[in-house]
Amino acid sequence: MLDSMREWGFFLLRRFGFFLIALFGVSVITFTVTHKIGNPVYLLVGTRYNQEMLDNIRREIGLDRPLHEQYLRYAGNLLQGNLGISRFSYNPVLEDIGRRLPATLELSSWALAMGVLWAVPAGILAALRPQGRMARLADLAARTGVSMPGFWLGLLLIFVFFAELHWFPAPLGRIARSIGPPQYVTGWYSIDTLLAGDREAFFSSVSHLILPALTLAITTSPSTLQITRKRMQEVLQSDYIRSARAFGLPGNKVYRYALRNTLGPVITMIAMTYGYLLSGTVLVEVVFTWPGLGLYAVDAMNHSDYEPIMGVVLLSSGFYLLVYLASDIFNALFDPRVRTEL
Amino acid sequence: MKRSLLFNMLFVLLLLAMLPGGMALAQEENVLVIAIPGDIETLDPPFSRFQRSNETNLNIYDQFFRYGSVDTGLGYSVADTGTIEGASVESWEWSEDLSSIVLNIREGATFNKTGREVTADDFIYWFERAVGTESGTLWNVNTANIASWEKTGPHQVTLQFSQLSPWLFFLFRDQSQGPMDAIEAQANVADDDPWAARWLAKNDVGSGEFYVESWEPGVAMVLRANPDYWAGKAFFDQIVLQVVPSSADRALLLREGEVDIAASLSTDELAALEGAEGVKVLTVPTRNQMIMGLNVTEGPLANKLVRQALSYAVPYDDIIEGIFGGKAKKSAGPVPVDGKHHDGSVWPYDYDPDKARELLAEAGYADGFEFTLDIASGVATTEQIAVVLQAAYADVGVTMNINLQTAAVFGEQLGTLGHQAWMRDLLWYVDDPGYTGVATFRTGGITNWMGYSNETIDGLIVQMNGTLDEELKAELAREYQRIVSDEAPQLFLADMPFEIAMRDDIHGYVQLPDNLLWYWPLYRE
Repeated sequence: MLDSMREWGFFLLRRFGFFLIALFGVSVITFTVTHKIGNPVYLLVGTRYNQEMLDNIRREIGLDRPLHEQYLRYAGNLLQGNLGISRFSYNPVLEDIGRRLPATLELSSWALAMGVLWAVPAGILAALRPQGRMARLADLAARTGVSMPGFWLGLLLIFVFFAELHWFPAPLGRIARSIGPPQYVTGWYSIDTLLAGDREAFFSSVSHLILPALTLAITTSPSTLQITRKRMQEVLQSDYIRSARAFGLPGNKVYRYALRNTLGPVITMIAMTYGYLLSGTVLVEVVFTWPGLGLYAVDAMNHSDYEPIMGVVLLSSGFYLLVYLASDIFNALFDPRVRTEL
Repeated sequence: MKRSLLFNMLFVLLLLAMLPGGMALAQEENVLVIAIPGDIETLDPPFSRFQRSNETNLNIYDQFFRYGSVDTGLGYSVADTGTIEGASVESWEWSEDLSSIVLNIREGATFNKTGREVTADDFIYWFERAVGTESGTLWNVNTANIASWEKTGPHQVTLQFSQLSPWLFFLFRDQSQGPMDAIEAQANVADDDPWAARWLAKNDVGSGEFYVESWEPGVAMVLRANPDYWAGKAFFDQIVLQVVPSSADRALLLREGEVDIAASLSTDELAALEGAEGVKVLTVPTRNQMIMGLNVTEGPLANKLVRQALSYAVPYDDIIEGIFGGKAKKSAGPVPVDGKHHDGSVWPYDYDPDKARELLAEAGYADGFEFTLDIASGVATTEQIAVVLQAAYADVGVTMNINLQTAAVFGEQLGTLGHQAWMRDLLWYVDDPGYTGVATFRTGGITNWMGYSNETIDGLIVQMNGTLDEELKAELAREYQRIVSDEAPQLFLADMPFEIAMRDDIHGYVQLPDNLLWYWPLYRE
């Protein structure tokens, strides 16, 4: 018991150490890269300035200090939860991120749910009947999803379902302008409208969500589908399933065992996909005017606004690293060998 | 029974008539929806740097002056820079020696949010804030040669000039030059923010045609018309500035009638919208020039003959037809074709590759040379022109490398003379050759990104800016254009039009010199 606890302690310490080192690495790289893509002072002053104004701004934003000093100041602020001030929105970056994050979380979660609801059953069915129609359909959907850029698919869906068929509203944010955002509870409009008991607002928020979530679901679910199918096939061909069949276990029971053994890597893949979605919705947010983190990052890039770029990259990396950490812990729970690996 | 029914009906009608606006019998509001590519940066005019913020501030602050306008008969009007009208300043009187001006502030004008009357104190605060914040506004104050300001009455301010101020009106109709509610601004200062810059970035305290009703960052800003605006309430009760980052979406939404105006569309999207049902595209000439600047301080580009050769090697017609679809005008020197005192007779260049080769040989570069053109990434037009130029220069033996840079690097190198050659557009919103001269061709000028210096030109600029005699100025401007064209520190590639797409029931468009959209004169019919 004590050995096991010690093993877990070392394991978690090691993994958390790697997490912090990786986060530190990300902060150094992001800081260096953004500070090497050009001096924003000239953009900040426009074309109406003199040398004194330039010097003042340079001093004000700390660009007159050596790069390592600038980084130390940035890292010190980071440790206090201060991601700096956006020079475009004039808000603390953390505040801006806090305002935008629920939109991205809601979109990513819907996209993940839509993707999983389709990809996992499709993968299982394709594995059960490798030559069947579902397998061929899964192949086609996976290839299409992998090869089609998200922004292009988004534009296509908008053209077909908004401009031609008029089934969905214009791609203008999260809810109809005439309705307006619901009272803030979770920041997820689809939930907050329900909590407010406002049916019209709920349907409006959901109808605004479907196309962007579908776009993301189509482009991100193929990996889940493929891994489900492959893993299920492997499991179905494994010795223990063959034995179970030989012992005359009913088909349903056999499939249930197979499914349970399939789910490990599938859940890991779903977690990875969620990590990707939280940081990879940029172009889809642009196409659907979805006011999330991606759109915030694009605005920041367009205006060479360093702090928000660094903040969003750091946050996205943090998500990814957390997902990896959770995945490691999850695997360690089921496979004790993982706990002793370096 | 009948009498009772009639009585009841009358009673119901009376009740309905008594209902307040916005209820059963409410008139529908006139709403104009404009799809814009990105969020508004700031509501604090002195700190506004991007087109969207400039446009919003133009419409929510009442500038000192404004231009009159002239109907072109082509479905739009253009600002007449020769006619200055009062805005927040109702009238003015110059001193005899033109060393000072008395500004009479419009009485009865009020600030939108507080209802306070605009007074001389607000104007004095505005000047003090310009100095205190050291923002672009101060640059305008200095460039207008304003030495001091003084309250000379409850609605009167007197300005003293350090020297003649030929551009006062042009500069003080700029979107950053409008009084703000001094009391409200001062009530929101902080210890580390004595000019309330943080608060004013998010809160409007103007007396303009509109005020901010709501703002959801990244989604939309809603403006409401000032019902008491001195020139009358705007036709549109509400302006919705809807953020739509994808230009393909903006074009589609306009076509579908979801928005009334789509801002910042690409040339291809505008071409595709021409002829679309219910949509019109206005193409308006401007003083926006596409320019290639050459660093004249070193290397082959320091040689005047080389710069002239490069000017002769520009396929002007290919650029105008191929890239601008024939809608741009051929540039002819440092004063835009539609600018005041433009004189095309002193412009020597046409596409002539043989002449270019001759000049290169004369300059000692018969075998050509190599140089790098830097352009900011993400600007499709400059990239397209650069490719056309690259091919044309290769034809005369010159290798031009195209280097795409981030906007920040590009901007920094302009300021530090780090480019060998650069390309970008320059919009001359002050219609005066003396102004463009002092900014761009004077030794050390703010946009003299070529390192160009010529004593004769410096002298001509001083003379142009020292006179209000337009005939003399035209004469000086002619010589100025002749010398700059001959020395060719810049290559003038095209005078570009401004294009905007809108629903065909939107009228009243007035083209302003800075390409900002003025909402007040717009109406739907």
